[in-house]
Amino acid sequence: MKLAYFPGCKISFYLKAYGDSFESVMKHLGIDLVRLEFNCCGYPARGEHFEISVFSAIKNLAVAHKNKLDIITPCKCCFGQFKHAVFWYYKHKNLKTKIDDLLDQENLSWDGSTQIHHLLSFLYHEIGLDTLEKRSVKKFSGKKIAVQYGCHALRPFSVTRFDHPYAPTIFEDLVRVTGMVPVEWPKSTECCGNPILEGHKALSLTILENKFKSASLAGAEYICTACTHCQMQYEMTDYESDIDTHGVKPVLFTRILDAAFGGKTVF
Amino acid sequence: MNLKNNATISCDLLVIGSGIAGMVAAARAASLGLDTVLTGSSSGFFLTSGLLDFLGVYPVESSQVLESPFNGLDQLRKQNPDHPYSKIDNKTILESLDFTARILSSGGLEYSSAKNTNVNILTSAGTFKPSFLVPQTMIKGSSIGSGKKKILLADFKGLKGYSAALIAQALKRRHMDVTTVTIQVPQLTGDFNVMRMAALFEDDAFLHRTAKQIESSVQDREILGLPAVCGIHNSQDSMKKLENLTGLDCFEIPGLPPSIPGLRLKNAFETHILKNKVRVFNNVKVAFTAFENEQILFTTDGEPFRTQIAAKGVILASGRFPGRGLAAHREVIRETVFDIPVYHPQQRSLWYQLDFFSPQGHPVNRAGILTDSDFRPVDKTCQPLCENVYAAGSILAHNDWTRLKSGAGVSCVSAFCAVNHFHARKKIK
Amino acid sequence: MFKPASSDRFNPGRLYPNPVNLILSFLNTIFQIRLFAAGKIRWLFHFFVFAGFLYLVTVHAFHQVTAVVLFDYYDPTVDPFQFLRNLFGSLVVAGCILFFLRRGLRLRVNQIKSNWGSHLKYKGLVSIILVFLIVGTGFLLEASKIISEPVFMEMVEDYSDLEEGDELEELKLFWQEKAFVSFDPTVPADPEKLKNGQVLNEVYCISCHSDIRSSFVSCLLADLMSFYGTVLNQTRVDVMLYRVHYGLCLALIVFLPFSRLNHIFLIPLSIAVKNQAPKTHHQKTAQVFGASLFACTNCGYCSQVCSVYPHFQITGNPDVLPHSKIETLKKIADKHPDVSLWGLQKGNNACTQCNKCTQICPSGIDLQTLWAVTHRIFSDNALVNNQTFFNRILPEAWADLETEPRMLIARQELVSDLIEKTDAFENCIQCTICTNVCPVVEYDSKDNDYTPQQVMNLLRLDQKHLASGTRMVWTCLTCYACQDICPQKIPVTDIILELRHLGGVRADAVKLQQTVKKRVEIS
Repeated sequence: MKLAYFPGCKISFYLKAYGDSFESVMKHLGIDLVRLEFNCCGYPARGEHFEISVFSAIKNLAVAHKNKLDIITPCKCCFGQFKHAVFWYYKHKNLKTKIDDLLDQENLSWDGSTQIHHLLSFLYHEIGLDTLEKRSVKKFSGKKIAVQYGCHALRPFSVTRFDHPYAPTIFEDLVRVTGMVPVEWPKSTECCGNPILEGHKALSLTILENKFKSASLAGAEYICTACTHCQMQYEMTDYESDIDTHGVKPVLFTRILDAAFGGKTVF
Repeated sequence: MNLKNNATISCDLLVIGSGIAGMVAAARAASLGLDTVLTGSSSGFFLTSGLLDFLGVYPVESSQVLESPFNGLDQLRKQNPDHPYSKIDNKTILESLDFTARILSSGGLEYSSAKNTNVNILTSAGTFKPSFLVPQTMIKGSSIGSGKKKILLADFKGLKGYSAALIAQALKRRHMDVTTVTIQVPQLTGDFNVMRMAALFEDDAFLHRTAKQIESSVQDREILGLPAVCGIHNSQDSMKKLENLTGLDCFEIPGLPPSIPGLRLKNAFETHILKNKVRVFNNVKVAFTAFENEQILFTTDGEPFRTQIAAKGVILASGRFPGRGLAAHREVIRETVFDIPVYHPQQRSLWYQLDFFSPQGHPVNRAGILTDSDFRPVDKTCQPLCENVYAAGSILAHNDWTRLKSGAGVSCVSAFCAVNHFHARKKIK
Repeated sequence: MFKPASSDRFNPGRLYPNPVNLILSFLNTIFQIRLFAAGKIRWLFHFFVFAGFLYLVTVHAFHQVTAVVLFDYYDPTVDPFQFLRNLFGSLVVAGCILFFLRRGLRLRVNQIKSNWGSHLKYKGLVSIILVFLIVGTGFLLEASKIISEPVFMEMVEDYSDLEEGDELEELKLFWQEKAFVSFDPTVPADPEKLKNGQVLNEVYCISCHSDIRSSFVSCLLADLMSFYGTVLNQTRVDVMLYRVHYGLCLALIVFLPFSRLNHIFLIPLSIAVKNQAPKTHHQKTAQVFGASLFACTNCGYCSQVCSVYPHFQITGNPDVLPHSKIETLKKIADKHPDVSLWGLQKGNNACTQCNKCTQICPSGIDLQTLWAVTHRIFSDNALVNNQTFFNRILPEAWADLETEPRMLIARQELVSDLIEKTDAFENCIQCTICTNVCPVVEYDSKDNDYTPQQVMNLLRLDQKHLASGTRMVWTCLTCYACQDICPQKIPVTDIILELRHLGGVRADAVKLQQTVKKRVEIS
C-alpha cells in the first residue's frame, strides 16, 4: 500500500527521532511512504492570514491528488489543519474560486477525494488492533502510561471526525497492543500548551508542568504522544531546568511501537 | 471515525439527539444488541440541574407537589390520555427509570430514589423542588424538609451566583434552624467559575483546608449544604471524604448553569454508551434523505466527507427549541428533521398566557409531536408516518415538563419504550 | 550551549568526528557534492567552468610554479598541454554560455516557480562575463599568435640560426600551410619546398611545438582571422590581446573578493564552520558566521524547496523566500541606507524553520540559524511581530488608537466572515460553558483580561476592535474546547482566530504608519 508521507515542517530539524521511528513502523507494516513536493500545511498561518492557511493545505492535497495518493501524517496539527482547510474550502465560495485559480496556474486541481490519515487513525481503522497485536513481538507489560490526545485532531469533532471529543478511546486501545497499561487521566484531552510557547512562554510551561503533575498523580510512568508539537512541548524539559516532571517521561508512540515490533528503537 | 469520503454506514438504529432521551435510547438499544449510531450535541447537559424528575406536580393548576408520582399518574392517565405517560404502565415506567440509574452507575455516577416517592430538593434560590432520581451527593438534603435538622450552609467567597445567606433567609422563613459560613479560596484568582471550583474538590489538600475553615462553625450542626461543585469525576468520593473530615452529613445544592451535576451526567452517559460500542457523531447535523427498501437514509453535513447513514429504525430525540428539534416561526412550529406535523395552538396569540406564572401553564409548552401508543409519530389521520420512525423525549406533545416536573422522566421512559417497541418489531421480522 | 536530547544523534552536522568533516568539506569543494544533490544539470555547467578554470589557473597561468616544476618538457605549445588548454578553455566557454542561457531563458529546475524576484535575475552576471571574457580573449590571443608573422620572425631569430634565404622560405611555407601563419606576401606553394620546410621544422621547432591542430579552438579562430591576417599582424593585435587578456586576469584577482566569485573561498569556509558548530534545538545563543552570508551564489534552490512558497504566491512578498531574504540581509550587513525591513520582517516571520533550504543549499550556508538570528533585528516597536505587539498594549488603548483608513484598504484579503456578519455570534446566550472549559482561563487566572464568553459579548456590543486587542485573543491555545462544546454552536475559536487576524491587519497598518513617520523625521 502506498501513501504520501506528510512529515510537516518540524520533524526534519526538531524531532528527527519521530520521523525515523514513524518510517520504521510503516515499513514494518508494509506501507510504502512516498515523498512528494509538499509545502507547509498552513497551520502556523491560521489566525494570521486566512487565505494562506487554507491555500497551503489545499495545495498539498492537490499535489497528492496529482500523484493519486492519499496522505498520512504523524503530526496532529497538520492533520487538523487539513481537515479545517477542507471545511473552509467548501464553505467559502470566494476562497474556493481563488484557490482553484492559483492551483490551475500550476496545473494542479483538487476534487475532494484525497483521504487524510493521521498515524493513529490509520493504525486503528486501516491496520486494525488485531494485526498490531500480532506484530508486537515484544511486550512492555505492566508499564503504566498516560496518553496525550492532543487537541487539534480531536476537536472540533464535526470537522476532524477523529474520535469522540470528550471520551476518546483510540489511543488507549492502540497503546494496549504493546502490553502497556493506559491510566485514567483527566487531562488526557487537554492542550499541551505548545501553541503559545513562543508568545507566552511562562503560561505555556505552567500548563506543561500541570500535565506532568496530573499524569504522575494518576500513577503514570510515561506520557505517550503522537504529535510532533506535543512531543516538542514535552521535551522542553530538556531545555528548561525548572520544570518538575514528577518523574514522568515523555515518549513518542512510534518509538514504543517500533520497539514492540522488534525494530531498532531501544525502549 | 476517520471515515472515507461518502462512506455509507449501516446500523440498526439511529438516535437523533444526545440529550437524556437520546442517551437512554442509545444505551437501551446497545443493551438489546442493536447496532446503534448516536448523533447530536451533548452540551445541553450543562444546562440541566442533574436531577431526574418523574412527576412532581399534578394537576398543573393545583400547583400541589405530589408526594408520590404514582398518586398523580392515575389521574393524569384519565384526564390526559395523550400524555406520554398514558401510553405506558407503571411497571415499565419503573423499569425504565431503574435502567437509567443502572447505566449511570456503570458510568461511575450513583443515583438514588426514595422508595417510589418524590424527594424535595433544596435549590440555590432557596426553594424546594420535587424530584425522583437524585444524585447520591444530593439525596441527604431531602431530609431537611422535616424542619427538624440543624443545618449549616457553606458558600465560597468569589463563586458567582450562589449565596448561602440567601438560601438561609428563605429557609428561616420556613422556621428552619440554619447557620452559614463562607469559605475563603485564596489560591483561586481570576475568573472564579464552577469548573475550577469543582476541580479543586478532587484535591485532598483542598478538602482538608475547607474542613478546617468550617470547623469553628460546625458546633451542634447535623448537616452541611454546599453548592453543587463537589468534584467532577469522583464526586461521591469527594463527598465522603468531606463528611469524614467535618463529621457532618453533606449534600449538594443545585444551582444556575453551567451545572456540574449536569456535566457528571454527560460524562457518565458518554462513558457508558462508548463502552457499549455505540458509534457517536458529536455535533454533526443529519439531514433526512429518503425512505428506501425498509431503510431510512440520512446524510451528515461536512463537505466533502459526507457520510450516508442507512438505518433500519430511527429514534427522533432531537429536543425542543434550544436544541433545534423544533423551530418556531411566526405562526407555525416545524419539526426540523422529517417535518412531521407539530401539534400546537392554531393561532400565535394562543401560544402564551399573559401571566408568566399563570397556574395553567402555557399552551405552547404542550406543543410537540403526537405519537401512537408505541411512540411512533403520527400524521393527521393518526397513522404512523413510518413503521420504524419513533419519537422520544421533550419533543413529545402534551407534556408541560416545567410545570409537571416531568422532563427527565418522560425522556427516559419514552426513549426506553420506543426502543423496546422497535426491537420487538425487528425480532418479529 | 544546549544539548538536544534524543534527536542529537540524527542532527545534521554532528554526524562524524571533526577530521572526517574536514575531509568531506574538502571533497565537497572539489566535486561540489551539495550542488550535485541539488541539481544535476546546473552542477554540470558549474563543473565545466570550475574544472576548466581550475586547470587554466594552475597549469596555464601559474605554469612557472606548477607545470614547469613537475614536467621538465613543459611548454605551452607542447602537447598534451596545448590540447588540454584548449579543451578546458572550451569547457569554460561552454559552461558560461549555458549559464547565460539558463539565466536568460529562466530555465530553472522547476520552471513553474520562475517568476520571482526579477531584481535578482542580473546578480552575479558580471563575474561570469569576466570569466568568459578571460577565456575568450585567451583563445583569441592564442589565435592571433598563431597567425602572427612578427612572432614567427621573433621565434626564428631566437631559436634558429636561419637567415633570410631559401631555407627560411621553406620553413615559412611549412608554417603557412600547416600552422596557419599569415605571411605578407604569401609564400607561394611548392610541394618540394614544403617537404624541406617540414625537415627544417623537425630540426628547429618540433621540440617545443606540437602539431598546431591540437589547439582545436584557437586553430579554428586562427583560420578565420587569417582572412585579415596582414592587417592584424601589422597592428600587432597579438600584443594588444595579450595586454587585454593579462589585464582581465588582474582585474579578476582584484574583483574577486567583491564579487560573487568570492564564493570559491567562502563556500568551503561556511561548510566547515557549519559542521563545527553544534546544532541546538532552540537557537538560544546562535552565532552566524558573517562571511557565510556572502557565500550565497543566488542559485535559488533554497526558494524552490521553501515550505512557505504559497505565502509568496498569495502576498507577493519576495522576502518570504530564502534567496531574496539573504540578499536583503546582505544589504543590511553592508549597511545599505535604503533597505525595506518591513518585507523582511513579514517574510521571516512566515518561515517555519523546516530546514529544507539549509539541507539543499549548495553553498552550505547555515540558513536555519540565519533565520533564527534574523528575528533579533526586529525588536523595535515598529517592527515586532503582532504577538509581541499585542503583548505590549492594553486592549482599551488599542481600541482608541487611530489608524489611517488608506493603510487598511491596502490589505484586502478574504477572511472566514465570522465577525462582520452577526449570525456567527448573535445566538450566544452567555451561559459561560466556554469559559468553564477554557485552559487559559484556568491557568492564566492572574493575567487574563476577558474570558471567552466575554469576548463574544464584546462582539455583540459591536466592540470588535477592543475584542481584537484582548489578552484572551492572543493567548488562546486554539484547542477548540469551547467551540466543540458550545450548546449554541458558536464557533468561538474560529471567531477568536479571525479577531487575531483583524487585530493583526490593523496593527500592521499602525506599524507601517510609525515606520513612515520615522523615516520622515529622519529626513
